[in-house]
Amino acid sequence: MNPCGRVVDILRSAYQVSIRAFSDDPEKVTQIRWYRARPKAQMMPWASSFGSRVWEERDGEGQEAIGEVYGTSQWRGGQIPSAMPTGGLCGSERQWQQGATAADPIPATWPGTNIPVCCSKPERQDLGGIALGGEVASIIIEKPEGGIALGGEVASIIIEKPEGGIALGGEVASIIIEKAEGGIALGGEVASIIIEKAEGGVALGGLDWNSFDNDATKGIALGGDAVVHVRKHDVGIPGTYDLYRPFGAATPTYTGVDCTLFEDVPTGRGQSPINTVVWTHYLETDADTDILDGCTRTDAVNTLNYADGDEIRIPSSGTTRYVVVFVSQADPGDGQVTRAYLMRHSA
Amino acid sequence: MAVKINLFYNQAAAGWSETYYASTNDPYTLVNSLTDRQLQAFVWFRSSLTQFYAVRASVVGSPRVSYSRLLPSKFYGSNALSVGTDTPDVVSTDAVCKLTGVARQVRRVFIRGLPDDAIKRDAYGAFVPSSSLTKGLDSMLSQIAGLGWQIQYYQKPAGGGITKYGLLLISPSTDHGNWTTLKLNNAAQPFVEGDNVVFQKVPTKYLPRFPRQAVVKATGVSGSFATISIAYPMLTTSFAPANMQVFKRTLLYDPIAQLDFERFSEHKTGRPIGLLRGRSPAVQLSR
Repeated sequence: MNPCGRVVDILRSAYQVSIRAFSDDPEKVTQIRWYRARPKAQMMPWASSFGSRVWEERDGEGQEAIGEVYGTSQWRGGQIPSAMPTGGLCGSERQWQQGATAADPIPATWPGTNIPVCCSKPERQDLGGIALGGEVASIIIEKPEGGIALGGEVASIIIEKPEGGIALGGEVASIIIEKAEGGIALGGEVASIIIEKAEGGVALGGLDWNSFDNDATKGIALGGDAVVHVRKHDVGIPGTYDLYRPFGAATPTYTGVDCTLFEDVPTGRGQSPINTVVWTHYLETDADTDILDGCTRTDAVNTLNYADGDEIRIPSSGTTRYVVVFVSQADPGDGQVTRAYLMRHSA
Repeated sequence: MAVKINLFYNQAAAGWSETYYASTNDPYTLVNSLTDRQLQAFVWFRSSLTQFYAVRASVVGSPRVSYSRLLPSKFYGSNALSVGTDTPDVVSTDAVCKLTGVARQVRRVFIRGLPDDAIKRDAYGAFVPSSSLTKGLDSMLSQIAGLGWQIQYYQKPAGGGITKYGLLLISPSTDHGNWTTLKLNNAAQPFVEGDNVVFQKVPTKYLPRFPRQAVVKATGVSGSFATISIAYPMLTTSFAPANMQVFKRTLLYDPIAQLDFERFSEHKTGRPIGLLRGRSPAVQLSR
């Protein structure tokens, strides 16, 4: 069960308390924490047994089999304790009123959070800071030292750990600045500007839709009518490839296979002082595509033994050759694909 | 089955509630069936800073199912604040009103969030509610009576006395890990499951947080003595109290038929509802 950010009850003070949530195992208690719901959060669609007992305890009722356990509460501040969903609802009316059972399935969670997937995908949490705005949906400022965010019709501004950072937005959809030292982001009709770990970086957007800088050091990004400015390996080139098995074979095993090729040297290179290039590119193709790497592992050894995998030529019938370094399955957001990491062999 | 109804009001840095009861077992429907007109009747005669913030209903009994409804921010009082330094419009000023039921049961409520202009005395020192307050209380009573809301009271023993039973032994229940079984110094079983009971002379040193009132979860027999079980998780071994007693309390409800202004008063108010107090370091909860 999870209210997914809905209003479960109203309180004067927030607290943490033990609850009995299982109708078939009253001995089992679980910790919950009451926290402040977002403005205009949805109400629960039914009554429940998990309302706060602060409104009932003085009535002298006995301890219920389901719900809060009397005498176990500890006052808390009411902040959002972790990632917070903004919609959805987990659990049935029966479970909310009569408790869950041990046989009820436990839903999976959104990656990196403890939010079940029956809730909507959680958003970043907002904590403190300074926010001046008109019709602001959300402004998040964490640990700013002198940071300022001023917005008109702002959907979201997020500034984390800036030292002297400034973000000014007009009709801004989102500006995110993290760990900037002296960074500046000015947006007019900006859809989003994201600057992470910039040192002295500057991003100015006029009619930019998107502008991203990651790990920039003294980098500058200026956008006029640009649609997307990305200083990372986010844009692939669609095309086709020929596959030769084994590497160096005289004739191709497959030809004209659809794929998207990504340049990925910044991620695939090693770190100083070794600077070994592990892969230079990767391609994504259909999940059931036949493509093989040559890596193996020796028992009880936590490294891979490298060997050439298939040979890939992109574009199809071209002369640019790549060796398949490693093959995995991935979901970049629109379905599962086969991702093959490549090292360019010859241009 | 009855439902307890809490009406929550806020005014600036203060918040308070009023409590009524209704005869239903469906708090969700009760709360959501209140119309804007009905809700406005509870607040329009109060000061313009007073907001009718939320309505909450919870079943009296088991299971204690509850539902809360935050009201849209349009239910405010309509009476302007007083002008001048001699009428500070303190939120703690209230009108003490007597609710009388059809069965002539009486309960008093504190109607708060009033503008100070509504609170006056006449030339002889008698309290005189303003015409706006009088009209507002009338309209509020009209809604309360129309909704069939009730006051809760305890049944007085017909014989003019309460039968109290001494307790011989208090032990962890063998049927339920969070229950405690109490052996009565009485052979016949005076209680039935679901009875509301009240305890007196509880040795809190040996029974920490033992409820003063409880619901009988089960009845039984131990040797030649009757036993009852209540929801109290007893972590230690059995305990023989010296003078502890238990008696039955019956909750009854009387539909409200009359509301009479009695006097003005001062009544302490709590913090606002919904504006959670304080902040503490955020802690990531483990699953």
